Amino acid sequence: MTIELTEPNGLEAELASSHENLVFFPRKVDSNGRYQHESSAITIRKLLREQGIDAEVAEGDAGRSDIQENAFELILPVIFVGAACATANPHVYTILINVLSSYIYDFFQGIQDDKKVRASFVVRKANGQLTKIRYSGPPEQFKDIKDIIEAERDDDRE
Amino acid sequence: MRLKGTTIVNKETLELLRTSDALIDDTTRFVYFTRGEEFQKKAVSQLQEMRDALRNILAKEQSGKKTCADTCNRIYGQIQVYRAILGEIRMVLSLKEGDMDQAWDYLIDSQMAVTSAICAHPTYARGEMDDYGKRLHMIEEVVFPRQLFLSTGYIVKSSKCSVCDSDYGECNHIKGRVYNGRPCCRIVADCDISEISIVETPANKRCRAMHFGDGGKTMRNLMTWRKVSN
Repeated sequence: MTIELTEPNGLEAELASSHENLVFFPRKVDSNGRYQHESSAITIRKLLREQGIDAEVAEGDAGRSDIQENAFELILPVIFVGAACATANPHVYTILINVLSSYIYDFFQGIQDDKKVRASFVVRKANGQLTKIRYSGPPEQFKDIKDIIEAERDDDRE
Repeated sequence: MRLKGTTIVNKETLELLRTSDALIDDTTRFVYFTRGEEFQKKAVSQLQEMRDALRNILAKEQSGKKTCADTCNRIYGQIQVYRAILGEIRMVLSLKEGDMDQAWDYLIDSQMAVTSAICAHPTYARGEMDDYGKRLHMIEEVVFPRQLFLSTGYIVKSSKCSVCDSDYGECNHIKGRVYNGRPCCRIVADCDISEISIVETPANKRCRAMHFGDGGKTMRNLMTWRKVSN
């Protein structure tokens, strides 16, 4: 399992500054300006809606499309929780991680081969700086990312 | 009326599920390579017949005035168990006939059916089906050589929901769940192929290289190592 802390890319930083709610960022932008998202994004948005949480899938000027890769690796979208969403729902990260964990469990049910999950979160620290947390590893350890997210959000608060 | 954790209202359905459970016990004894082909062929036809009967009763339940989602999903799961056993016996028959590529396809279909059953209903989410999946995985590793898998990457421009036929992003159905005996899949309506990669664990193990060349004139089948004509 690896958890990496990096700086978000330019587009992610730009989108984070213009969104106050829960947003999925694209993996990349095509030559027409269309945002290309992980194919799991739409399903996760539906699962969050079931829990009463609205998530937005960021769209470029030319709309969006989904990247479908048929290797057995689950790639979750890059997730950003804006200030308004976090204020309105203090438990949003707990719900989010639970929904994602449950989705990961269902996704790999009955699969006997090696299982791998990739997930990223863009988090705003207390000092306003952004950091990107990237998880890559087995489904069983995915929940560990919650502590890292909490630690990053609390950073500088003391 | 209860059948392994499911409440079944329709007597005909309950009876069929009971009979089909008994047939599973009768036919799984023929999944082994050493069993006589005559018994295995008979088991295949019995399983096909029962699978068709289950499909009919599922259609009946789905079109009834009071559709019970739990019952429909239970029947759908049972159909998948039948598909899994059928796949396994057919794999053995194909191996005996020397059709190794076909045997592989049957094994993979059997594995996929086990996964579908597990997702369909809690009855199948318990240990028994998981153990069955492990057994099939073991067969894959012991009986067949390591395969060279391929994975297609594409950009989905639009997709539909297999349950309600609306845009997948607009409805509330979740890919992978089963609704009234109907699995929710995301049907790609428009896409651009972006790449084909070699991967360790593909989503579809039928997507694999079948022949290889040694740089010269010889092409060989990756499964049998036999020469194949160009």
